[in-house]
Amino acid sequence: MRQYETAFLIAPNLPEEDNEKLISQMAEVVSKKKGKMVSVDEWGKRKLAYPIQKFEEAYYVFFLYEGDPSIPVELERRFKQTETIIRYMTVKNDIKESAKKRAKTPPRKKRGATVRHQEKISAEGDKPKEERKPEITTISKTEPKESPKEKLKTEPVEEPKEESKATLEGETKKEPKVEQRPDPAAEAVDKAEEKTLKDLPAEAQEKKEK
Amino acid sequence: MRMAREQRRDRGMGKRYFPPKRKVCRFCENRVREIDYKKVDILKKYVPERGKITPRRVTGTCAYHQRKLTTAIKRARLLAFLPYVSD
Repeated sequence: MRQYETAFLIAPNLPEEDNEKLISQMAEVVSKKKGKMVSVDEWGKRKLAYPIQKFEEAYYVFFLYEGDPSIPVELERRFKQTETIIRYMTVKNDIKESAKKRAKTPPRKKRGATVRHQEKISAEGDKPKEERKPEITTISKTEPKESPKEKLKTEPVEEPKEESKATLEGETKKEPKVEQRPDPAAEAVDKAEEKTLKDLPAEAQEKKEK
Repeated sequence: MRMAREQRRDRGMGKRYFPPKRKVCRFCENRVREIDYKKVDILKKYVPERGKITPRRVTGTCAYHQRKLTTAIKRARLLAFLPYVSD
């Protein structure tokens, strides 16, 4: 069993009674071939993006059905015969495959996605908003309680180690400072050399300005 | 951190370097797997005036969803939801 979706456009000059007849005729084809009609969508008249057979608008109908592959073949054969149908298209929906894929790969949690974005884009509207907002509030309540404790636990353990290393090695304690903060170090050097050389500090200052 | 900031300043020479904002695929954000060719409002966002499909580098759509998008747009074109060409 496969699910198919067939869309077809009926010419706008056809009266609405004939429209219904035609749609019911086509629906019969599905039922005759032991297909299961899932839904019949009628969008009604809609403006076309470009003229088809010199028509500017058309009556849109969508069939969603399950059944043998012979059904869409038969439908399309009939579409070809009827001149009032301007255009048709059948699409095969792979429901099972997509379901399997979902089961294999659980949906990722977004990292960069902000709440605003979700609200803007979500077509479904208000439901996701309501569901998401409470989640965030609960997280924000719980986090501040936990985080200070964690910090207290982690920081005292880490810091003494660094200090002890620095004190043991002696020389290394000075070097990282020089690497991390080039500006104060350069200033210190400048101050020391000001007496002897006046050209160097001028160059250093130029570099700083840049 | 401090080093990196200085390097950036040097490179700029007056003009600050602003790292481009990281784009995220809108379909991934909303966890949409399949893109429906009937949802014209969504598709229209990816088809500007001329009727061409906007490339990935512009919209930030991921490869998977760009593939789905193109098929959806092409189907929509067949049913005259979207134009093949327009000026």
